[in-house]
Amino acid sequence: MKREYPDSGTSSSGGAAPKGKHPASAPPSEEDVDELLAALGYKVRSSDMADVAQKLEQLEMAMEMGAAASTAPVSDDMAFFPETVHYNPSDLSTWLDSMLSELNTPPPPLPPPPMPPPPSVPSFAPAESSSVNFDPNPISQSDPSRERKRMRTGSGSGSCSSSSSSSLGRGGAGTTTIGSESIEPAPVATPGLPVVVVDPQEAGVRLVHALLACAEAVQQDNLKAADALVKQISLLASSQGGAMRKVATYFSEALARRIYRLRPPVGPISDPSTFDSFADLLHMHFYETCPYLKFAHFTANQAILEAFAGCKRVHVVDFGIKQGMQWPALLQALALRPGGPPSFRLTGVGPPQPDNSDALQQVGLKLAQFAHTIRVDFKYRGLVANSLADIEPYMLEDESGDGEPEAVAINSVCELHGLLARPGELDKVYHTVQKVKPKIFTVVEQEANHNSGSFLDRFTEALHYYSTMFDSLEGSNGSPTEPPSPGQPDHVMSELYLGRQIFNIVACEGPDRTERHETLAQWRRRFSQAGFDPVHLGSNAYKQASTLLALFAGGDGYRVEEKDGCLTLGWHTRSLIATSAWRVMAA
Amino acid sequence: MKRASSSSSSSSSSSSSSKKLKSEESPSPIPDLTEDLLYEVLRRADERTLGAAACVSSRWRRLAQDERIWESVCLRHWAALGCAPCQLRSVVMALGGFRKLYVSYLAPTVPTRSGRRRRWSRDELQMSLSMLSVGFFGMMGGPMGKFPPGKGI
Repeated sequence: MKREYPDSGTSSSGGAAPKGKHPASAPPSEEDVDELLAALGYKVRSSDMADVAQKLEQLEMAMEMGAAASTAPVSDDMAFFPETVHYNPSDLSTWLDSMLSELNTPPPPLPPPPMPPPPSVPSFAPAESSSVNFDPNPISQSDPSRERKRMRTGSGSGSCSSSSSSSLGRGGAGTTTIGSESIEPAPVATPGLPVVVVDPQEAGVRLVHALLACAEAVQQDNLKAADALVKQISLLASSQGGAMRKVATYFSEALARRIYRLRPPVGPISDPSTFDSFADLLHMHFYETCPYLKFAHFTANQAILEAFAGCKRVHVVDFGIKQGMQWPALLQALALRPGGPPSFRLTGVGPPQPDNSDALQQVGLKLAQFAHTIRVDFKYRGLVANSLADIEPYMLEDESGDGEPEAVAINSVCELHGLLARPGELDKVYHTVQKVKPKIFTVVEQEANHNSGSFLDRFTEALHYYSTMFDSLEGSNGSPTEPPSPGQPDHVMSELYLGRQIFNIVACEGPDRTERHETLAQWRRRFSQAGFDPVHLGSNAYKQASTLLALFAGGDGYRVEEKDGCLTLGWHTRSLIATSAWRVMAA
Repeated sequence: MKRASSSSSSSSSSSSSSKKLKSEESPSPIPDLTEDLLYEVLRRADERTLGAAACVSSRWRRLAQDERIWESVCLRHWAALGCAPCQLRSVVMALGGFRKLYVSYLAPTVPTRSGRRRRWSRDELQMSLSMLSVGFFGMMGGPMGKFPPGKGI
């Protein structure tokens, strides 16, 4: 970063040079400046300019001396405020005074200008090794200047300075946008429109562009540019609110991980497939706060119930039993069916536990207890498997084999996409299912293509998908029977649940990248090729789903749609999750 | 809410004297109905009335919260019952009872106060039963303990 004033200030007649610069720079935009400044509470008259310049010089010299004394490297421009001062000398008059007095004495609290506090840039500070002197300083003016400066460093392409402005965003001053190109010559031509007022929508668009630009840079292996963009994204994201901010934060974090090759192997935060208690907790919170998983369970259950009509012995295989939340409802429905419940067997598949606890068995016990309460004959078997491809048909066989054969249903909720990470695994599973010959194979998957070969395509798709997801979390109030809790802690957990998926999609590759979602159409093709016929889900399932949504207060935005016998649940126009059912093709 | 028929049947003079008697001897203005009579009255009341009745006294509350009454409230609204009533009863009672079923899972589906005597479809019935099951399961002790803590679903 060029430091103009110090360069000119090293000469003893420093006062002349800055002064000389001012008249050249001040006039054209002076009215604008004052207007803007006045709107923000700054009051600088042109007559003060010279004075300001002189103070600048003093400040500079004081800082240089301070730098020499401190351990901060002089070349680290970030540590010094005068850098930012260059762009807006017009607001310096009082600020400079205080700065100077600060340097000489312990900082007195500066009366903050009447503007809302700037966005939390401090997230930046550690990365940029900001000077310790000024951190505790509640001077808020410095932040926007600093931000703008950082934007300049960071931006290779376009968008910048919107974050500070949107926080300071006073509509009264009008929306003046300044692209980077106009700020470049600013120190000379214009002392700078010190504040850029951009409306949040525009900042949002810029944010998306920045995210996509960064993804493109990553795809092209241009890591330097990507790195700069990531920082820019963090800044832009902090200017947004609500869902957009959260989505952008997760995506930028994921991009950062990808850039810095921080791919934690198996950790609670990053690996969504780890079946540890933390993942369980997140999963349950997600189950509670939004209807997607409930939709999945209830529609699948309806299909299974219909497939089991008239059967006296039934066997359900759950490819990802987790906490077994799907099965109480099915057990109850079976208990209430005309003619009484069948004898019910459940095989729950789960990954091995890191702490050797037998979670599968515990889930089974709880379900058995439930079944006992409603008087359904219940048997349970837990299958520990690292991957679904490890399951062999004999493991699912009916050992008792007395009298009537079992009717089998296989259920997979968001478990199949993980198989795409390793070649051949899905085919193996298809093969096993074919051998078992279930009456029905219910499949629920995310309705999105997050598995394309191109990173940028994946990223773009994921960005849209998770933005919609986060919007729906934001928009829904959860179930009406829940009291609205301040701060909505459940949403935080659900967001983290989704965030982990984002990390996996963006930051991981190869066998680690397990969140390989594909669209319903893609799955349909796969199933047909593997020898399965679709089973239409029927109007009961549709009505159940509609009733479910009616129970959710935020049900306005949710949409259930029927697509060729499959049901999808989405937010407004975007489908987010799809349930389908299959049976083995008659030979 | 119906005031006791007994006081209305008596003549005006005796009612005034009985009023005086009441104010003298006990502060309770609640008419002295037998349990059976009260039950019969409440059995025909609608849900709002039952809720109000439960706030009158502990005796009234005990009666207003009787499961048989709530069972008839729920059954009254269901268009078609897919199963035998005793079957339904045993399952629902095991999972928390009809009153809980109504309050937690059926009442929220009633759009406004004006939607009285609305018949629920089988799907709504099934959905509410499913939610009841899930809620019960969540509240069972187990490896995760009770989840969500303190909430109904």
